[in-house]
This record gives sequence, C-alpha cells and structure tokens, in this order.
Amino acid sequence: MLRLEQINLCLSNGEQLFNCLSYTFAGGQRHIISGHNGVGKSTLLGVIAGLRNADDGALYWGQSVVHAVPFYERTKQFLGVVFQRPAQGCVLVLTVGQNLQLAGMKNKQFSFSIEHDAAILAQAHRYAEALNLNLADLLDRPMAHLSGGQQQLIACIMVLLTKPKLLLLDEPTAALSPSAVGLLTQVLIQYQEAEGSTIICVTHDTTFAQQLGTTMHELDSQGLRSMPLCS
Amino acid sequence: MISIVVLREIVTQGGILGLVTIAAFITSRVIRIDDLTLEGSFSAGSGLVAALVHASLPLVAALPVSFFFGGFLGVGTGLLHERLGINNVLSGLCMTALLFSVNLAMVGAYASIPAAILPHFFKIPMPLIVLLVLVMVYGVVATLLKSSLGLCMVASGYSPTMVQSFGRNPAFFKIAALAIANGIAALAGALFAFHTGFYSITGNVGILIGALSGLLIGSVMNARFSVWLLVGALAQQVIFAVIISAGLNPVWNTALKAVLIIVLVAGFQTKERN
Repeated sequence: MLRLEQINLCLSNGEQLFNCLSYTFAGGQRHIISGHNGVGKSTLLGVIAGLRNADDGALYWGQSVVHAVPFYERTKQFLGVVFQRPAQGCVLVLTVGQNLQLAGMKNKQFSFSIEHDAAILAQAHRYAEALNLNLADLLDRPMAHLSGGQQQLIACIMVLLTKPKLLLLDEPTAALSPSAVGLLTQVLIQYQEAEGSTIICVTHDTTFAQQLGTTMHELDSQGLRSMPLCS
Repeated sequence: MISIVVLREIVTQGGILGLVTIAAFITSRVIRIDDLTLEGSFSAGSGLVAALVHASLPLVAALPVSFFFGGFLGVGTGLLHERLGINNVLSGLCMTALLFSVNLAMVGAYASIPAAILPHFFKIPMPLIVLLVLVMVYGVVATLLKSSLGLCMVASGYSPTMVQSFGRNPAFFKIAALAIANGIAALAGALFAFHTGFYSITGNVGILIGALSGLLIGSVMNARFSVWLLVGALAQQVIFAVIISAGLNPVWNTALKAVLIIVLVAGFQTKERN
C-alpha cells in the first residue's frame, strides 16, 4: 500500500500544483492515473519515486515513511521506474547487453567480471521473446542504434529484471506500436500477478489503460479521485 | 633524421602524456566532467618525488604514493562537485589553486633533484619504465571500463537517473573515477620528475592541453577507449621531434599541433558527412 498524506507542491513559477493531496493506492493492484496535460501526473510519479521533493507532506510505503529516502535508496528497496523517455532509463552509448548487465547488478557486489549474469540474461530472453524482440541480435548493438520503441521495451525489461514491488510507469507506450503495446500489457499483467506487486501507471492511451488497469484514478486541480473501471 | 636520443624522448614524454590522456579520457568521456585538477595532480606527483628526495625518504614508494596522493586529490574535487554542488570546472580550478600553494610549501618553486639519483634510480632505461607503466595502466583501465564498476561509471556520466533507478548513487562512481584519473595524472607527474631530474612549480603548464589534444586526435580515429588515445599523445611528441630535427624554431610546436588537430577533425567530419 502506498499512502500520500497532505502533500503540498508549489512550482517555481508560484503555481500550487498539489494542495494537501492525500490518497491511498491499494497494494497488489494495477492503478491507472489519467488527467489533462499539465495537471501534474508525471510530477506526482516523481514525488512518489523521490525524483522530486514535495514542499511538505508525508509518503508511506506500507508502514515505512519514505519521503525522506533518496530515489536510489527507494529503488534499492522496493521501487522500479519506467520513464517516458527511454534515454532516462538506459545508457544509449552502451550496448543492450551492457545495459542488461547494469540492471542485473542491483543489490549485488561490484566485480571486475565482464561476464553476463546467466540467470539475468535468461530472464531477459524470456521477456524479450514475450515482447517479440530478438534479443540475441540486439545484445551487441549500442542502445543508440535501436528505434525509440525498441529502446523503451529494453528499458521495461531492465526494470522488470530488478523485480520491483512498486512499479511506476510514466507514459510507457508513447513510442510503441499498437501490437507492441498489446504485448507489453500482457507482460506487465503477468509480472504483476506473479510477483504480487503494485503498478501505478500514467497514460493517455485509453486502450492500454483499460487492458492494464484494475483501478482507475483521475488527477485534476482538486486532487486525485477514483474512477469507475470502463469495460 | 630522428636520432636515438630524440626517439627516447618521444617514447618517454609521449608515454607520460599518454598517461595523462588516459586520465583525461576517464574524466571527459566516461563521467563527462572536464576536470582541471588533472594538471594540479600532475604537478603534485612531480612535487611528491622532489619532496621525497629532499626529505631523504625511500624513492621506491614514489610511484604508488603519488598515485594514491592524486587519488586523494580527485576525491577532493569530487566531493566539492558532488557534495557541495560546486560547478565541476570551478571545483577543478579551486583544487588546482589549492595544490599550487601545497606544492610550493612542499618543495618550493623550483627544486633541482640530484641528477645522479633520479634518472638512474631505476635499473632499466626510463623509456622502458614509462612504457611498462603505460601498458599496465592502459590494461587496468580497459578492463575496468568493461567491468560492472566501469559500466556504472559510464552510466553515471551519461544517465545518472538510470544509475539511481538501479539502486546506486552516481556520485560514488563519479568520485571513484575522479580518484582513478587524478591518481594516473599524479603517477605521470612522478615519472616526469624521474625523467627530467627536476621539479618546477610551472612544470605542469600545458600538460592538460596536451592531453586533451591527444584525446581529440585519438577520438577522431576511435571514440571509445582504444590505443588511438596513446597514438594521439605520441603524435604530438613526434611533431615536436620533427620540428627540432628539421631545425625549425620550437615556438611553432603548438601552432603545428593546432594545425594537425584542425586537419584531422575537419577531415573526419568531412568523411562523416559523405
């Protein structure tokens, strides 16, 4: 369970984006957040992730107070983030294999080894197969040489490899074809059901939202409110 | 015709410049911080050798001690940048300014080191010593950059958010890379003092420009960490040697280096466009 309590956030131009925002996201669900452009959906994800500090208020993950925990500590403990721009979630100058190697290093000791972790690579192959990506062909290619859609799918795989308990998705389908969106939806649902994790996704893609989401929320100037699930 | 003596100078000074070029690659291309401390660390490495001689301390420790001293200076710059939020160029400038006084206090503005001691301290010729150190440093850095630690350093330079999203603090990797780079620069400075047999507070002037030139020349051939970096460093010494051998006025040395860089970079960009 993720709980926001009395979150206030004022932008640098003086605009009050969140005013005493309080809300609870139930654990083990796939939450979809929708809302108009500029209402603060990505900023809200940033606050939850720790990429952005709220002016005041509290954030709870389960019973733990986490608003003072830095982003990299949250990701170490429970969090995974898929960014809207794949360049934020991967290193474009490194190869796909090296990026996966980095993802596999979470919570591991450093080493001078240049070998890929076989278990991580096998899991990456399973995700890639489900997403219709030929990973064997891509492993030695720099991320920069991939299309935006391929980069986003690799970035998703990298995050899933870390098995986050809370997965934040910021417009993950922006660069994807409709068929890739369908495949990604299946992978995310399977992951969430297998791990029992919580997903919070910001998206404008209504088809994706309806297929992925188990609960819907709308963010507007009054705050967050629950929405009926469309069939 | 280049004499054997000149050839020895090319190899020795080219090798020393090659070490600083490797250091500049780590800061500029791996963690993407233009670190001016490298110049100060080079001088500190030289100064340390001079200080050891003046204090009659065992010279055998000079190379490892200079590496760790440089590493310490790199950590200082890293902390200024990452912890206090000071701009990276300013952090390097502050640290180098600080080092200027530290070096003066350590050995004075000019320290002549007994010629009978230094150049003959090692039992094998200086060019071989420099080449040996260069090969070792190149091998270690090449292995490091392929390892998980090296990948994290690259990622910290290009996508710090990504590093954080996998539970790591990019500041740690940047500081570690600055420590390694400055350690290498100080090691090069120590070798320079062994080679020349003297220490001057201004002996480091131009070393960073030379290293960046080597980096640029090497990058024209291969943007990644490769032996072209060392070729770039060596090319500058060859130009200098050719100028000397041809009887030209050495004042044209830097102008010819600039022309070489312009020709190489312009040629490469023309090739890329076509």
